[in-house]
Amino acid sequence: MTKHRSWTGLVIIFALLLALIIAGPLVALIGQTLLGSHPAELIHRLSTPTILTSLGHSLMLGLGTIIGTTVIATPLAFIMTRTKLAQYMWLHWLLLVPFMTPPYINAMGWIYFFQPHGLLAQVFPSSSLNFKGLFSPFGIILIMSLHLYPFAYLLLRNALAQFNQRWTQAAFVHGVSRIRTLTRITLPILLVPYLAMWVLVFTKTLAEFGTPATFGRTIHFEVLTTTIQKDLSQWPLDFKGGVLAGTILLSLALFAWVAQQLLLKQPKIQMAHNQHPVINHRWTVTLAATLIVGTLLLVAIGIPYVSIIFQSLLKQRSAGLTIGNWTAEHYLALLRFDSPAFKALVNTFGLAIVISIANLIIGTLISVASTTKRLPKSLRKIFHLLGSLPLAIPNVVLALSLMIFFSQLLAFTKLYGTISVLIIADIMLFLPTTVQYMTTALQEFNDNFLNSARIFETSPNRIIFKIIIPVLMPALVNSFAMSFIATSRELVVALLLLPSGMTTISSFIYQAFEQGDASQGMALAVITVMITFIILLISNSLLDKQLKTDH
Amino acid sequence: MPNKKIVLSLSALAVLALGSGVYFANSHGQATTAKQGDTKTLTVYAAGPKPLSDKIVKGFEKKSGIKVKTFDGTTGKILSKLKAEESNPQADVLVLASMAAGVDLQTHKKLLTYDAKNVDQLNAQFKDSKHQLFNYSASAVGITYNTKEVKTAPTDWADLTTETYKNSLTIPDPKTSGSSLDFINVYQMQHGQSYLKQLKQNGAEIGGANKEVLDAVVTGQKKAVVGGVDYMSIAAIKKGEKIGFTYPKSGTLVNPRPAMILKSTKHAAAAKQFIDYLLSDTVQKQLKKSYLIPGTADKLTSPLNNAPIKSYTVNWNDANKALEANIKKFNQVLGHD
Repeated sequence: MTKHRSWTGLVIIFALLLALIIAGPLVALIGQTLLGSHPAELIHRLSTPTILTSLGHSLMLGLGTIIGTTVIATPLAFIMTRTKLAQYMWLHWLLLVPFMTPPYINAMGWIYFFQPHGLLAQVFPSSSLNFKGLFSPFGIILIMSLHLYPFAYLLLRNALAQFNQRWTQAAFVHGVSRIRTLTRITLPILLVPYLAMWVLVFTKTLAEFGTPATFGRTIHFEVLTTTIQKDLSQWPLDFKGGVLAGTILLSLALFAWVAQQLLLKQPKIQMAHNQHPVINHRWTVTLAATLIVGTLLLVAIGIPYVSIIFQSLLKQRSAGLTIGNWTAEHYLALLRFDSPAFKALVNTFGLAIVISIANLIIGTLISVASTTKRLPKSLRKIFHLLGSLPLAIPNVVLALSLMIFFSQLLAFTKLYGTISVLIIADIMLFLPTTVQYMTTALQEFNDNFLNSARIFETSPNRIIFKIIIPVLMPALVNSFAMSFIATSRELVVALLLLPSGMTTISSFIYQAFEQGDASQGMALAVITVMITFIILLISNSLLDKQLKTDH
Repeated sequence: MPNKKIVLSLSALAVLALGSGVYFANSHGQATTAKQGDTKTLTVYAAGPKPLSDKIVKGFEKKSGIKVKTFDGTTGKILSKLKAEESNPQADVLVLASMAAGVDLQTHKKLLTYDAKNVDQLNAQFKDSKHQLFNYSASAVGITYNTKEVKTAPTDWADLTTETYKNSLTIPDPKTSGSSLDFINVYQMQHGQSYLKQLKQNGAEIGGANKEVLDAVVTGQKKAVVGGVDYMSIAAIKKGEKIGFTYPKSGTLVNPRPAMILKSTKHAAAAKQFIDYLLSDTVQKQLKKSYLIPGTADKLTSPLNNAPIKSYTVNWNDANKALEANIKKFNQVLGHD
């Protein structure tokens, strides 16, 4: 009994620690806003044009991107479930590439491609086509949509793959009118996935920093995230303004998060299993689908990548596309061990490994705690909440609140200005993904394995290493790979929290764009994306191998 | 109950990991503070060409045996970092690209006084009577233009208000660029706002940091930078980029780049050595290779062709007082919100 009690105590301490680290900074941020200045001043600040414009821009970008991703992802999800193209897994992966490209690199690619005398104008010097219209709010919405559509596509594809054709067939047999079929069957089933997708896209867009910081800046399109970063890192400083913008952004994000949690609670419509959607085999449909997917890939992947690789190979950037203006020196410079870019590479991957491991351990614990039936329900709920809350916090707000938390409330720890704050921030940021993966894996965990093991095997070590870990392996590898990739390309947290004397890949590229050698930044970008792919390939092949040994 | 044991061991592992992480970070911090105590690590925040500051730091480390931690950023970034670290100061030495920002820190009594060795060799324009700001180098601003787009080189500021440059001018953002901050302030002190309004009418836009606006001209997105910094453009010209740089004949700002020691430093001795090193012949010669104007230069000449630069005379204390209002006016005329 005492053993049991001490164990519960330990769990509660763990919960309290997590709550302090996750919720503490947010409370500090809100407290700073409400108590840091006089209410009248607060209201005055709320109505300043800077805050209002960036709020308006943020909302506009969010709504625009919802429309954009819906327009792109809906036909895509149909194509990848109902046409012959659905059988190609590689195409499915290729469609996810835009999301894996760091957004700031993606946006730079677009700028270099379409700007006056950009790549397009160099390839077709005589064409009178003018892309000035692209350098507008419409352009940034387009770029964001092309970056975020993979999320929408994944959600919709799952929804459509589960969609039971027999329902509509039954309706057809019974002579139900088309409109009634649509309003009574199709829409209700698809409504929840669509709503969930819209909330997700909206949250992601609100939190986005990279695209507004690069493309947005060239068209003077300030959103909340960039305003916060500006207020905190440009002279003259406006710390209070940044804090206020941070609170507004946080409230918006929390609101969307609550909406999302409510949506997830909706009773899921149970679909009959093992029912593959009907594939349309008509060749006209296949052709149209191929054209659509091809165009999309050309625009979403082709434009930014061609443009970035082009920039990274130029000797003289003003000479542009001419014979003899090509060089690999920017890549060779990266291979020199003492070059700053190489240091950034090493720093980033070192950090990413540490963060992913810590993230994996803490995430697994939270998932175990939120699923095990040995804990009281209230405690389980708290763990579930703590595990999913960081999803709602935009990166820049997290960095800002940790800044306040560690530089003011916890100043005595002297942790501010050291790498540990950055590590804590990154662990927190990517915790929800891990928790999601692990919780799903644990819920699907077959208890029979454990029960039989308990009867036949006495050593708990062997149970862990021979049964539990192998069964959970896919989820573990996936979570590790995801948080590794996410950490290695995170930008705004690194910009705000990196200690002096340290650069990461993302901050190097950003600085190269701002102060240094843009070609070298682009070369590093190309290498980073390549490394991301290699990691994904490795983790995939690891999983494949395991599946084969399992069967 | 093996299940319990599993959870128990896992949680123990996590607490251990968390604890060791915090401990590691802590002890790491302590280790460096301990080192700092015996003047082994100096923290320098530097604005300016990174290759140069890397070179200077390496040379200093080799010469003195003192380790240097650097943070490279724009003047704006450095000042904001300083502000965020107010309760736990990290930096010992600052090297900024804006004299006004240096004077601002000076008036707030944040700087340490030191009689540096070579301070009397500095150009008279760069001397600071209080011995707190060490203007080891300087850069001038001017007009950077794309030679493929602009056939006749501009000679003075007024040329930029002509039709040739319609909607293709960019100005470095004073929020990020220290030299632009000073230029915009000093220009208004000399000539008022009318020129800014003419620029606005000609479709000039505020761009990003120095490198970003230079990039815009190099890639042909814009035709010219108003108030671009010279050393960056000259480096690009030497690389063979198709751009040109003009020092306006009616005069321009030659902006000292002050180095300074913060009063909060715990490593004053090492910091003083660093300042001495900045003013030493070694560094003063290195500056020329980065196309900066050495602080010890007798005459202010162009690093590109040694032609003399006509420079404004500036009272930096007045400039510091005028700064806020002038930047506000600038943003009113040319800003977007």
